[in-house]
Amino acid sequence: MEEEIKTEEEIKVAEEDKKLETAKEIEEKTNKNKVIFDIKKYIIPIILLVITLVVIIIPSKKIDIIKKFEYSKIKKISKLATIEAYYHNVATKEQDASTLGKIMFNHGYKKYWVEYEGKVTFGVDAKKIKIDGPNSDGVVKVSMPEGEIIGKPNIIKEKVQKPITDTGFLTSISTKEKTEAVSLAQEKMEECAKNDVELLELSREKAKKLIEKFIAETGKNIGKEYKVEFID
Amino acid sequence: MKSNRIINIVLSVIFIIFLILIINKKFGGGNVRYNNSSNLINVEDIKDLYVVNFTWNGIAEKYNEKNDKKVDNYIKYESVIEAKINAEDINNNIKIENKKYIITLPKIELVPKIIIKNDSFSFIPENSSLDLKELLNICEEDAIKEAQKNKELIKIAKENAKNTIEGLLLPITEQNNYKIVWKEDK
Repeated sequence: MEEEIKTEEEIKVAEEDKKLETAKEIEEKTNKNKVIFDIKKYIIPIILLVITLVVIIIPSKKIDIIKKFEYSKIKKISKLATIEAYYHNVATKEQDASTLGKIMFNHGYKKYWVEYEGKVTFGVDAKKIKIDGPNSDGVVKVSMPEGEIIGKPNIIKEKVQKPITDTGFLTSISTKEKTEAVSLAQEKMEECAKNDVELLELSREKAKKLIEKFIAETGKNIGKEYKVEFID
Repeated sequence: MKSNRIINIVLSVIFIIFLILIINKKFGGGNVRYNNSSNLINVEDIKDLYVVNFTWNGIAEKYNEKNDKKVDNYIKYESVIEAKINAEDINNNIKIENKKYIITLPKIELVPKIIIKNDSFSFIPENSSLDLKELLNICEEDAIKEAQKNKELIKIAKENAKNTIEGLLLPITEQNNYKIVWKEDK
């Protein structure tokens, strides 16, 4: 009899345990369903956000093929350079934010200012210098061509000042934009130089003095005294 | 639930911000203005004879400062390397011997000039933000390295320098029955 009562008690406890377990299981399932249900609610905005991040923020660093592009050309020239003209240049690029950008804390607004020194070389084409003589009086006649700009203008690296910049929200100034601004300043410098009649004439006068000295020294080296006469 | 609504609102706002950034990026910013000035400040005398122009379009690399095997930027650039001699030095190295006008050619010097004009540069990555000074240094170093490898360049520069000098000297030397001889030919 006692054994039977124990068994009944045991059965009751076992049944109660079972009820507890079932209740717990049901609670866990409900919670899981709740979580799954919430993620489903946000899945579309999260996917859209990830796509946007990938498009804007993460830059593409994958380089498939890099072909070394080489182009070279050697050209013979004969230019006698007699003066170097130094210019102080200011290059600026300014971009306003668009209407949309203004809403977004001035996104797209940028300013880039840089000061630097550039150099233009002036001289004459040595191939066009005509030397005639010397005659019996020891006179060497020389025809000197017009002064011209020699080669491309140059930027003096040591004289490039630290640029001044200002940008809006999530806006930067690329190297390409900086070079675009400077390229226009270089064009302006070259234009100033081309139109500087005084410098062109000065370079020609300096070339005359150089050739005069050159001819006098050559004569001296071979024991002769020569006088130079320029034919304009 | 309140927390779900707040998360929803925050995500929507972030999405709208990025949407505006995409549209702005695609359709560009506002007005662009370039304002440049150039003023002559100094003129200096020089006495150089330029004998060769070497056009070089190349690709330079900017290496990472902490890891010198990693390339941070590739720069496609255009340059002209000019070869010159000091014109005053021509007559400083003369020897006269038996009606021979013996000249030692002055040293050839290479001068790199990086071309800065629209489209003369291209960058990988596109949004590279190099300083102008740094850009010029990297490209010049690369251009000079390539020029120095080119033995043909120095050879042509020397030949053309000799031709130009002979052109200026011959009217005088020929009339006095002198022969121009280059020291290295002797």
